[in-house]
Order: sequence, then C-alpha cells, then structure tokens
Amino acid sequence: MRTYFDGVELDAIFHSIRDMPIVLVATPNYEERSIGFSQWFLHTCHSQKIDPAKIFAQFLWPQGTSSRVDLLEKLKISQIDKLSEQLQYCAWTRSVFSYPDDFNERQVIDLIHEATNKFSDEPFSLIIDISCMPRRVIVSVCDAVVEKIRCVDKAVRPLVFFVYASPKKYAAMRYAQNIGNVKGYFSGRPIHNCPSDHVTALIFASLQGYEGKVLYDEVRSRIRSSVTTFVAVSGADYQTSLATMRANQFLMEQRDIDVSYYFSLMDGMEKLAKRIEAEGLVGGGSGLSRMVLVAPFGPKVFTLGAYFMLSNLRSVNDSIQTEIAHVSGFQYLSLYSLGLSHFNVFKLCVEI
Amino acid sequence: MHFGNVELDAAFIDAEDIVAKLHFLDQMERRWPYNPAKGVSLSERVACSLTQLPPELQQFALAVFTNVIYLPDTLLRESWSYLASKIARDLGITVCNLFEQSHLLEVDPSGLIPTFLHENKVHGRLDTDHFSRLQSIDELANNLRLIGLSDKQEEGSVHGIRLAFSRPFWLLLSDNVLSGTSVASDLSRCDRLINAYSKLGTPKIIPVTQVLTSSAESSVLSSWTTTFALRFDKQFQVLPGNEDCSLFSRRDTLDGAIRLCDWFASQDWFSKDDRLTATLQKSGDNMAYGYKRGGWTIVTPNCPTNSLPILWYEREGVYKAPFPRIMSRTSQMKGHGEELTEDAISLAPRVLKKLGVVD
Repeated sequence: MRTYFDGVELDAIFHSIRDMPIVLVATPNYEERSIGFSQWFLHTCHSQKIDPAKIFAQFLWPQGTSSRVDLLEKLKISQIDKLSEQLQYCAWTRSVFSYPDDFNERQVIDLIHEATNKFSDEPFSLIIDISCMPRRVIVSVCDAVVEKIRCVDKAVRPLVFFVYASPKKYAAMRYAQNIGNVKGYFSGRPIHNCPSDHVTALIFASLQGYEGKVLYDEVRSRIRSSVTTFVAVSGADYQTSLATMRANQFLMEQRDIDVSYYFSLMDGMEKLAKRIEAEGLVGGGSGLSRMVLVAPFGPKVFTLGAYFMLSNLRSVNDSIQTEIAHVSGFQYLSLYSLGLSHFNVFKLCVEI
Repeated sequence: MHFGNVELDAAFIDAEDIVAKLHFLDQMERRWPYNPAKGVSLSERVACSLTQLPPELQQFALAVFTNVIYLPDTLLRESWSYLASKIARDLGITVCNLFEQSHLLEVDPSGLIPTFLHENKVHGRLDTDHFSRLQSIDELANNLRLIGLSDKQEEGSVHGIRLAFSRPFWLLLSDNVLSGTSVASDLSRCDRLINAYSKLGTPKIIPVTQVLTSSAESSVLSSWTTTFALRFDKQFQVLPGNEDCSLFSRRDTLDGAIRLCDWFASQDWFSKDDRLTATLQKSGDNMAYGYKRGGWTIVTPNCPTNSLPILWYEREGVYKAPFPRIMSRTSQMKGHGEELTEDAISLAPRVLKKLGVVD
C-alpha cells in the first residue's frame, strides 16, 4: 500500500533540507491558519541563521470579481500584514491570479514554475502550504509539481513538502451560496457527463454533508456503483467529528455505503490508498466501463492523496477512468475556521 | 407532546436538539447495534427507561441519553490499524517491524490481542515462536514465579519469558482507559518486573488504548506517553460544576442531569445492590456519576462503569437503562496480581540463575 506521502515531524523539514535553497508557496486568506506556517517557518529560518538569499516565498493571491466580499478581502490583507516582520528576511512576491471566476489552471502552473526556476541548477526544497488553498488550485499546484519533477534532471529534483495547518475550531457555518453540480477536476466536466457504467466513489465526509448526498444520488444512477464514505474521528476534537457524522447522517444510514473511520490525516491517506490499490487489482471482463472517483470533501490533504494515488492507478490500469470530484461554485459567508491548532507535514515520496 | 408515557416540553426538545441527536443515535445503532440490548431499538429503550424515572427528571434523562458518545465495535476495530501505524511511525520503524519487535500484553484479558493482530493483518498469531503466550502481566509474573519455585525446567514458560524479554517493545493494550487505575497498576507492575529482570532485556513499555480520557492521562498516567485513538476531555463529562461541559445547550440542563444522577444513586435498589458492592467500594463514593466519578456518556460495545449509571444500570422490575451493561466484576474477590508480581521480583536472582543469565 503506497500513500505517496510520509507524515513527518515539523522539525524534520529543517533536518531534510539542510543547506538547500527553499521555495515556500502559500495562499494567505482571511483565516488565521493561512499564515501560521509561513510565520513559523520564516521565523525559524531566521533564528537558525539560514541564508536569506536562499529563501524565496511566493504568496498565491486568488482574486475574484463576481464573488468578492470586501470584508473578507480586508481581513486577507491584514493577515499578510502580520507577516511583514518575517518577510524582511527573504525575497518574496505576491502573485495574483483569477479565482474562482475566470480561473485558468495554466496561470497557477506558470506561477509555480516562475518561483521554482529561481533555483533550477541545484537541488532545492519546495514547501507548499495548502491549508487555505482552494482544492481546484491544489490540483493545479500538483500538476506544476509533477511537471517540474519531470523536466529537471534527477540530481536537481526538488524535495517537496506539503503542509496543512489544522484550525483550532471551525466557525459556525452560515449559508451555502451557489451550490452547483458535482464536477471532475481532471476532465473539468460535470460527473453526470462522464460515460462510465460502473463508478466506485470514495467520499471524504465534509462538515456540511450536502456534497456527499449530491454525489451519492449521481453515482447511484449508474448501472453499478459502490460507495465508501470516510468519516473523520478525531482523537483531539470529537465534537467536530460528531458534527461531521451528524451532517453526513444520510450517507451513514445507507446500507449500500461502506463506512470507514479514520483517526488522523495520515490514517485517512492510508485507508484511501488501500481502497485505490484494491481497485487497481480488479480485472476487467464485465464489459462495463469503470471509473474510480475520489471526493475529498473533508480536509484538503485528501485532494493531494487522491491526485497522486489516482495518477498511479491510471498508470497501472489504463482502462480505468479516474476523477477527483468537487462541488462547484460554493462560497461561505463566514470565516470558515478560527485559530490554529497544529501543522501536519507530508513529504512527497513519488517517482515520476 | 408524548414519547411513550413521558410528557415532553417542546421548547426543551428544540433547545437541546433532541430530535436530531436521538435520530442520529438510533440510525447509528440500527447499523451497528448495541448487542447487550438484544435487538430492541434505541428509541424504544429510551422511552422505556424514561417511564421508570420521576416525571420531573425525565427530560434531563432524555438529554443525557441523546448525548451519548456511541462508539460501536466497527469504529473501534478500525482504530487498531491506526494505532499500529502511529506507534511504528513514532518509533521510526515499519508496521511489519513493529510486530516483529514487540511483545503484546493486554490489561484485562478480553481478546484485544487477537483483534489487534487480525486488524493489522498479522499472520501467525498462534505461532509460539513468534508470539509469547504470556499476554498479561499476571501470566508473566506467574510464569517467572513458577520457574523460581519449581525444581525442573518449565520449557514452555522459559521459552515464553525469553521471547517476551527479547523484544525491544512491550505494547500494553487496553480498550478504554477512563479512570486509568487498572492500566496504571499494570504499568507499574510491568516496570518493576523489567527492572528486576533487566539482565534478560529492558524492553520499552508502550501503553496503547483505543479510548483515553484527559483526566486519566493527566493523573495516573502522567509519567507515561500513552498512544491512543480517541481522547475525551471535560467537555464530555457530566459532573457538578463542570463549566467545560459542552454536551448541553442550556446550563440548567446540566444542573438537571446532576439532580437526576444524585437521585439515581440515592435509591436503595442501586446503593444496596449486591452486584455493585465491590465496585462501589473501589470507587470510593456512591457512584452517582459512574465509577471514580467518571461522569462520561461514552458507550462502547459494553458500556463502561465510568459512564453515568443511568446509561447502563439494570435491575429487574425497577430500572432498565438504554445501554445495559454485562458486568465484568461482581464479586469482591481481588486479583492476586500484586502478590504474583512481588513473588516474581523476590525470586528474580533464582530465576535468572536458572535461566543461565547470571552465575
């Protein structure tokens, strides 16, 4: 079973990168956790006397027009202002791109290449904080990482870390806006347009729950389907787990849905890897076209897991169509999360 | 508004979100039944329990019942693979290596070891060359003691002892660590045995549990690093003056729940129940909030005594709780664990000599 990631301790980043140049990518927004890692990391670089010339920080700055909320924009700017002290110690840039309207994934890929090209003739470490990165952007960032790894010589391949900051708590959810279709990130099409007869859906339950229900209804319309729901049971925050379970009660009630509990992000990754690997071993012969679909509606790290595990599944069994599902056009009119609890660091371990 | 014969206050039901919570638990239990309830639905059991309580306390009982933390066997089983991965990661080894390098022990013999191995897909559970059969501290101490007392070589015991001490890690498994007293006692005995028999090996003891409470962690287990899957803190405790309790929306619901628990413990059929004499004595109080004032609403496949008695207590014709418990201890008979350990420690020089470790 391969998760393509090693869960590593925070301090292990510094142990691994030693004297390498560092590219830090983050997406500050109105949530406190969005700058937490950048603050800690740049502060630690300074206290460990890492040469500032070897550090470059790139802040991806999604900028919407139609769905812009001025109050949240103001909070977003004040978050990056809080980083001003740490930003004295390194070169940095703020890279604006259109999101969610007029989103162009190539724009994000090019921005990542622009940042990483600064250290193209030596091995470097690429640290990507996905805590507040929209899932769709995470997929583009993964595309950029894969392109980068493929195009450089093995000797200078970057060491890639993904960071996810868990919040202290989630804000009271307000009102769902613009709930759209279930779409696939890989194809960019609504899932109901995907022609597969047999769909295996692996759903990570979300805090609000409705996405899973929408997807379940869609998947059940196929000739054959199997659905697994992964439900977080957090050792440290059972109240949030309970809220998630209650929000996803519909999925948990369905006898044709297999429910699997995970106790940490890495445990969720391992359980997802087991299911995807098992799909790769299923032979053809039924005459039905198959699709394996991961719906990472829960924590964002599962978008990373889904991306790399599904890519591998395609490479071992090209008759299987794969997708990462998302519900398009959804916006919160709330802060979404409050405070910062702890950082989860995942080192990418993949031969591409 | 009625529920069985119980009169309900709509404003209270709304404030405490009773309908949604009860429906959720009902559905959870339909899918993953609470076996000791023998197929009766949760709603029916709750309605039945309520009718046996004084009318003025019924709504508080309903609030308690609907705030149960229901941990079915399926959920707990999945925690074993997480726990093995977590320990292996913390030790910097693979899960496979963890099982090759560990001796497994369990606190109260209840079949945790086979489940732990099964859930982690470890083959050869019964191979005595891989897994020592000395799977509790009592067995370990008793076998050391027997080697010391016997004139002949007990081959099975010697092999089991050598195998256990050859492993660098001893995983002490437990399902629930709520008050933590049993685990703390086993850990202390384990530690003393290893000190006395350090010439055989000095394994590192790792307490492992599916469910841990923050109170146990910060008191009796404070000197140990316990690996756990789920940890519950004061938010989930129904105790007098617990400002951190987040189970209820209204403060007066907690006060009402406290009155209910106090009333329950004051009833003769509870306080004078012979089956509880030993447990009450060990608890050191009237157990209004459960064993050792747990105050928990946690329900595992056999509701623990540390949870509120109104959740698990059952007495024919008087009260039947929604989550009846099958008692694991009913007599005052104490185990001989401490004596066995002391005997094994005092016999250590002789045993080590017999094993050829010292001259």
